[in-house]
Amino acid sequence: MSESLKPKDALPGIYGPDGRPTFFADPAMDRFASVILNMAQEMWVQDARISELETAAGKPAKSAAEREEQALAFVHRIFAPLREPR
Amino acid sequence: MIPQLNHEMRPTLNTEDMARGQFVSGLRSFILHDLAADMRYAYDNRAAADFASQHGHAPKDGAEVHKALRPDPAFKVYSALRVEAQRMVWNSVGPVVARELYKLNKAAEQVKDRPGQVKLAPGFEVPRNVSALDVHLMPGSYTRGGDTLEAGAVYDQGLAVFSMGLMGENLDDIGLSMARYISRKFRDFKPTAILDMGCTIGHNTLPWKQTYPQAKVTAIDAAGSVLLYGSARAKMLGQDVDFVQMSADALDFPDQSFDLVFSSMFLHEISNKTREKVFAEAYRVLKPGGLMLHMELPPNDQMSAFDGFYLDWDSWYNEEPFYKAFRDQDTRTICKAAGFGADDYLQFVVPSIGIYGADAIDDAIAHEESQKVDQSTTGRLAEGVQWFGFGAWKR
Repeated sequence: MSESLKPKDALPGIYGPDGRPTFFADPAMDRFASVILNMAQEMWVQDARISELETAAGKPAKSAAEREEQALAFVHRIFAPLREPR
Repeated sequence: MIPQLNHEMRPTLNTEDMARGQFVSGLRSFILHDLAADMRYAYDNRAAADFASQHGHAPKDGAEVHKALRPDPAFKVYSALRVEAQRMVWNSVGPVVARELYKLNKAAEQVKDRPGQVKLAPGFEVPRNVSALDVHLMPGSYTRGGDTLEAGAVYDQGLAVFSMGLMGENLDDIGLSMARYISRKFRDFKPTAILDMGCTIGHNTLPWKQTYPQAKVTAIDAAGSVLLYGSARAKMLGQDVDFVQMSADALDFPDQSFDLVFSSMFLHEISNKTREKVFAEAYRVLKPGGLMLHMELPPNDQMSAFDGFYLDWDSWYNEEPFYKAFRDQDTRTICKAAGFGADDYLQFVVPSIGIYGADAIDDAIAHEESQKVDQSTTGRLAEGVQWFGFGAWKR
């Protein structure tokens, strides 16, 4: 995003040199967050492939809605440590 | 539930495609429900108090809530994940569209002779708010792929993943809810000519044609590529709508051409200066007795500081730089500035028809006084979403 199109009331320092938003004191942490998400997604893709193989081997197939529910539970499991302690 | 597109340009998804969509949808749900609740908790339990001890007062508007939260870990986690999840929405559908583009072209070709025209403007200069931004972090935004079906297909499929099922089977919940509200609240209002401005793929245009089938419906957008897709999509869904490439701030229509001038989620994507022209143009092309109606994010002056901040987050971090400037405006004042009478202004909050059902909209009309703008569900894409509408009648 060019400088002229950035929101006028943006706080100083919220974008990195590439114009992308940054959130952590160390910019490497922002990039690392992306890596973690990508890895989790790839893990879910592998889960789907295994599930497909299991179905081919005779296990009952899951509906799209069931798989979505499982994906949500997977996300909750993986990212639970990010929740705010209460 | 991720909706499967309900037309012939629906892609054939393999196991991997479906898994990517499921993951992103689940991730967004986790962020928008759980991490958003955590951020609110952090604000209430430490960030607001820290801000107050430094500044001598509690955060009084969304900008100050932003300042208060910016150093907080709950904000950092929510925001970093939300930005990345947004990128993943587009990354999960982009390769599918690239792979299926030939099939989409073929499907569009097969319906080209059905009723409804698409008119692109050769040499049209797409404004910078469209061409120079990756709006919603969508690479290439609405002009991705030039004059092909790519931008529209990525947007349509991306919206299906993005919306987590909250925008309806045809991603038209906003249009359906708004059209239901207007047709039930103003039963004598029977528009015969309807204009939708900034329509993208026309997903919220089609409900107007369904609600007023006798009306001639025209949908415009500055980006030609989304119109090509939108026109084919409308034909596949059996709706006769014209799609025309045009800027909403320079309408190529005679005075008093339309009974209803509508937009959805459009005004926050243009600058204040352009918005003034858009309102003036809407006023010009409306017939006396006509209605200008916009579905939008609710204005900041009608929301709490935190809820205002929550929506304005997109302005800073989702490549929608005009979003907050729009929400900082007084909607009644901008209508009046365009020539509408102060007494002819209207605004309302309408329950999502997909979540609450059509009867809930009738109930909302009957008990309008209970439909406050300042609710955490107004305009927020989460369970229980309600849509904000405003506009004015032309005398």
